[in-house]
Amino acid sequence: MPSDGHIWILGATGYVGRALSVAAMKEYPPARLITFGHRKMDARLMEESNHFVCPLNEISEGLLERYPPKKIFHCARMAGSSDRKRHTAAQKGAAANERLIQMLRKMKDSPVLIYCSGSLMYGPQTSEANEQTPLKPIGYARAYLQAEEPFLNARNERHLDARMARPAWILGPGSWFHAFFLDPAKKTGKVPYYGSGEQLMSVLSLKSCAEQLLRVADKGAPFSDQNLVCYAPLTQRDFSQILADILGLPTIRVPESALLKRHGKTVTEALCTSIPIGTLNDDWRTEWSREVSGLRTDLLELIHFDPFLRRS
Amino acid sequence: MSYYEEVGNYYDKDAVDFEQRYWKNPVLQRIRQSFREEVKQLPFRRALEIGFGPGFDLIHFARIFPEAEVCGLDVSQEMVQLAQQKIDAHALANARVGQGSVEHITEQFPETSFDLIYVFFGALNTVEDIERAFECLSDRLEEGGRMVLTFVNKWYLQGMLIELLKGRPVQAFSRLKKVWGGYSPTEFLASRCYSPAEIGRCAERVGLKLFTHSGYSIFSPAWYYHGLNRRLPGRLRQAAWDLDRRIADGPLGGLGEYVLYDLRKKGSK
Ligand SMILES: C[S@@+](CC[C@H](N)C(=O)[O-])C[C@H]1O[C@@H](n2cnc3c(N)ncnc32)[C@H](O)[C@@H]1O
Repeated sequence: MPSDGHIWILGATGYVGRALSVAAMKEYPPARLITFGHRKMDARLMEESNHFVCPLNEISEGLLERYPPKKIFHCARMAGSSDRKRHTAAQKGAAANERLIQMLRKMKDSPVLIYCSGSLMYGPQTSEANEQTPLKPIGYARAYLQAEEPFLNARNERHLDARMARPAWILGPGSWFHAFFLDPAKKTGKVPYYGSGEQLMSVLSLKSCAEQLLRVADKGAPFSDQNLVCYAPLTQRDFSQILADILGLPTIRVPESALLKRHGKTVTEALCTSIPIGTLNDDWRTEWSREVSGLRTDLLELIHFDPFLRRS
Repeated sequence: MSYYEEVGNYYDKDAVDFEQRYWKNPVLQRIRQSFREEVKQLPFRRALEIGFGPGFDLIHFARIFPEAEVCGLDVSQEMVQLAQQKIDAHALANARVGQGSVEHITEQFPETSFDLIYVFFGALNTVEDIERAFECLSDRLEEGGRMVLTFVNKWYLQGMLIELLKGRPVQAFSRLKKVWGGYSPTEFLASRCYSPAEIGRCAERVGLKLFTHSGYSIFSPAWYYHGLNRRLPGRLRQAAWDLDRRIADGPLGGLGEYVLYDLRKKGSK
């Protein structure tokens, strides 16, 4: 058994989990990296880590004994495509998380657990939300708070060094960026912004999110919250404008009512609420530039990899 | 030319394609992952893989279990070379490979015994005498040791039905014959498919206990039904896989395309 313990990644085949696993492969040999996926097959994870296809609620104590984790990265938030499904998923997630906590409590040296949450947990803000800002979840986060409560409780009671990582809007292939910005731009020839466009958003790239998550385990304070941020917050209109400049397209305002009609309350809340994110833990984050010009580079990179745009 | 020269030549020619085909086939990847998880269920100190091919699993196990030793025997010189290149590339001091058939374990690994022997994707479907092969394996397996053997199965019911529907009765029942020509429609490789009952008898003869057997591709299409796998919606494919896993250890498991056997030698926990 590796003397420095194992690194577990739960939800390794998911959006953040996959990127985190790839970043972790650069730091840890396959013997130390235990990844858990569910359903989706991933040849790279199969080869470069000790991989298990196993839902969160079926991880056994036997595995904890055999590969005792020193760090657990939890990116296995159970998701749902409607409010009702999200609620059910959150209930299941809460039960699975509680079960995991009980198993971890039995370990001689309990590990540090980094839970990948989201910054929608902070809700509407007039100035930058930091780690001391109380949680007021909106949009998707309303249901998902229930799933992370077992970790918040275990942390409050000092049973587990659970660190809640709250990444800003994660910019990567697929996801909200494609669904609400790039795809409509490709379809209509105009880059949308929603509502007034004055709402502030904080964005970070998927790669930087993965790298920062890894650092939270080493450099974050025990029992802490850690906002994962990169660029200074910008208005959604400015965000759309940067994208529009790159694509050589105009922007278009999509009224909140139109968004509401098309996608419902949860999506509208998520896209139209101003949630600028900052952090009180800037000390270990110097390797990630906060220059907004970096955002342009990230967007260029993303678009470059978009097959549709590459063809045109 | 001896039978093993024929088998070796067949895989020598196929080696590079074999590896490339695998990376493009998600069904094979999923099955392999499940095979690996079966092996990982129990810790081991020294493992032997028969028929490691390009070395997917031998290299993987050597990398994730650096404290264990993983040895391998394959009848194809080309496959041995491919695996050796990977061992060198990863500088694996705990992996060793040699050329030969299952009857040559002692020559390649003299005075070595194993607490795990595994065979993935059917190397034991191409042996001269399956009973003799079991004797050789059992002979090298330590007391309390475990064998995880996978075989191309004889009674692959779904395959029979599909071939009958395609109007190919000869294909449908080809696995029931004494000699099965292998997967390739163009290259003949004299092989033999076995039923769970036949494997059970072989195991019993050499004093191995059949712990479980588990079928693969019972309802979900086999790895080589490319068109079917492509056309089937993802959800349905997943549902078929889930169903297969639920019934795999029961009697219907014996009707899968592959069957995995978990055999234990006396003294096992
Ligand atoms: C179908 S391939 C499977 C390769 C590998 N185990 C995998 O999972 O990809 C069968 C392999 O077994 C080897 N093989 C076939 N018959 C064998 C025998 N009797 N003894 C040793 N190796 C054999 C072949 O050379 C080939 O590399």
